Amino acid sequence: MTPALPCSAEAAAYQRDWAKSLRARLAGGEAYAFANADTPMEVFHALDMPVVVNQWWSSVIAAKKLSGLHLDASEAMGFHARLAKYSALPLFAAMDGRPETQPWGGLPVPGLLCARASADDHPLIFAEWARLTGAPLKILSAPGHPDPQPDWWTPLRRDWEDTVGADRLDLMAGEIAELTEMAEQVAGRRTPDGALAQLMERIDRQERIFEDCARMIADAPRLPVRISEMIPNVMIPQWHRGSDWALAHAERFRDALAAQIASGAAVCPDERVRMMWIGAGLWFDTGFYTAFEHQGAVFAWSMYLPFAADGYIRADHGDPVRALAARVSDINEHLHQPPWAGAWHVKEARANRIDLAVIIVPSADRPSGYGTRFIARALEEAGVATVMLDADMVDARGWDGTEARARVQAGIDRVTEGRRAKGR
Amino acid sequence: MPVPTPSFLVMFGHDAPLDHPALAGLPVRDVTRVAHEPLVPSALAPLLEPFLDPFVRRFLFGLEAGAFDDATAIVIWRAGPGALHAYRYAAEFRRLGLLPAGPPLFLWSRADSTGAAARAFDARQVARLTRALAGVPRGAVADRAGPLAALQRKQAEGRISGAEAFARRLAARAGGLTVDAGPGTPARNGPRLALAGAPLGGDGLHRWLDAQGALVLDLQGPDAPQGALPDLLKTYRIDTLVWQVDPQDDLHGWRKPQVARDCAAAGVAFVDLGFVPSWPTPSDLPPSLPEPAA
Repeated sequence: MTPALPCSAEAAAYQRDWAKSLRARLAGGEAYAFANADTPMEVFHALDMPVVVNQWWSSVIAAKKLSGLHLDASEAMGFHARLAKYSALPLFAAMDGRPETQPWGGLPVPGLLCARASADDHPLIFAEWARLTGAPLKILSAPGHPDPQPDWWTPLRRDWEDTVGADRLDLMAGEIAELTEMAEQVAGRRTPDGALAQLMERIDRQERIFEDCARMIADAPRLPVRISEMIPNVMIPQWHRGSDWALAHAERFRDALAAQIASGAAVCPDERVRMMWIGAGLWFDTGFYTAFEHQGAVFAWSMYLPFAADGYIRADHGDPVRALAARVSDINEHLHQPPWAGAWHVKEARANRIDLAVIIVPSADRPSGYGTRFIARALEEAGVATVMLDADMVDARGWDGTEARARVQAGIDRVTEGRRAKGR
Repeated sequence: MPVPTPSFLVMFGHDAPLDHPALAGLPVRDVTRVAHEPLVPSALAPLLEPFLDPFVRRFLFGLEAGAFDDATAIVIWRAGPGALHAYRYAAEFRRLGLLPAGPPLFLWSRADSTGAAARAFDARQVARLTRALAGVPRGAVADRAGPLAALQRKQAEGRISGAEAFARRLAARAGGLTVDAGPGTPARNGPRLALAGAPLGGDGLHRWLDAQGALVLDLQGPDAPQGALPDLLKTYRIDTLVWQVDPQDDLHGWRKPQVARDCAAAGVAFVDLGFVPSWPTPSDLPPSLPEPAA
């Protein structure tokens, strides 16, 4: 049994304190942005404008076991059951409006709303938010890449001008400027000169540290920390990316990991099967990730840590707004759409010596649900076994944990039988 | 000697702007709502999620069947629901060798914002499209709008059934023709109906509605009358609006509560049929129009 990293509790404590201070700032009437996770929230950070991320808030609602109540209520309001849940749960909670059924008693009215049109339904979900709250809404365009290449992660770090394409970069950079102007109007102040450039430089540094962390975990002889520890240690700093605390925490995580690996600690001393979890987290049943450890099967990988480097590091070439546009332009698409997603997950599976990939297939969340079979095909062709689980990240109502565990168990059995057949 | 097939473009994507100047005089066949069945066996079918948009699914089957092989190019209108995945999947199937090379695919994107950056982007997209289509001969610019307006008037006056008007609009788009606005089978007397919700590919629901009233306003498109819903309900003197979405819908359902509110405000009955497949058959529909929601 591996001991918990001390920095994990520190990250959780920081987030609790931050949440408390954010709540106080919002209660004090400070304007905040409510934005989707794939938007350029660096704009708000550079302005020191509080931002609440839609999908983070959704996971908070789900973790408090309130999702069923709000999803049932949404259906009573006339929204059918097959609409998006992960990206819509906060809207449904806001429509409910009762303080006793929401974390923090509910959010105050946002100062502005922001989403990317990376999914067909996101503009409509945010239009409902705008109708409900009267808050101004900025929808950022998501024109499709006309010629996506599988190995996107290397050229995007420096040569993003050619990789993303000048037309799409010009558009996103222009829309970021418009968003900045809107945020400044709402906040009643200007972004300090040089603030975005400094922030972008610090984010690059932070993500390089996370890249080291991901490499250390991949190279360790056995898994040194569970993904349930990796996720808060990377995602809490990611929500605060570029801040003093986030940079310092990334370093603490790296150092704690190094010590853990040097000590020989392992989640499973008798590690036999290494698994990857593909897709967003199963926020209402995180115990699922440890359910197979008794037989030496560990979830060694989730996207959050390695994506910090590949999804975020962008050389600014003296133009931080354009570098930010390069980061945002296909940020969610890289994780889900062919040919990007298959190639990236194969690269990661190889680096992490993965035997079995477990892929969450949320049918009501199309940006995540589409493309999953292409990912599975790419992994199978690379020699990685796959299991597909029909599930939603925040809707526990249709979740059959017993059935899901049985499917993963069957996958583990296939891996071990395959090895036996090969005499390994 | 074989007769050469005239050049034409294939367009995919709901609400693709066929009247855009970039397409003026070009023979464009909008195949968005054309049904193509999978080959047996299909190399593509195992890679399509069961919840994939039904129009995207049938478009991909059309590609596999070679239905568009004679086209000069296939233009995908990115703003159409599901269209980006039609493009992604088609390109990936070709890259994987599961689809043979065929007419070039062109993704026509449009900005979602309205500022200067958006205008510049849209103009560059049109310039790219125009360059890509430079080799396609252009003919006279057909008047699409006039016959469509005439057909709409006929439908509003009950001089053509909902199913027939719908079929004519689909045929015109799919064939690259102006719509036939000639005489049709009159609608029956009865309540004045509007149809809204997710796009349909088949006319099963239209036929069912034609048996129960006069379908005078077909808002699920294509080429549906434009305007704010409260105005349309008033202009077309609608008694009942019938709403439906396909079982894979993740989009149109967001509009339903507002549509229901608009109907209530206008004194129009709102009937929700729930999930109806995009190519409905009688077994997908109730025996008769249900009572409006309270």
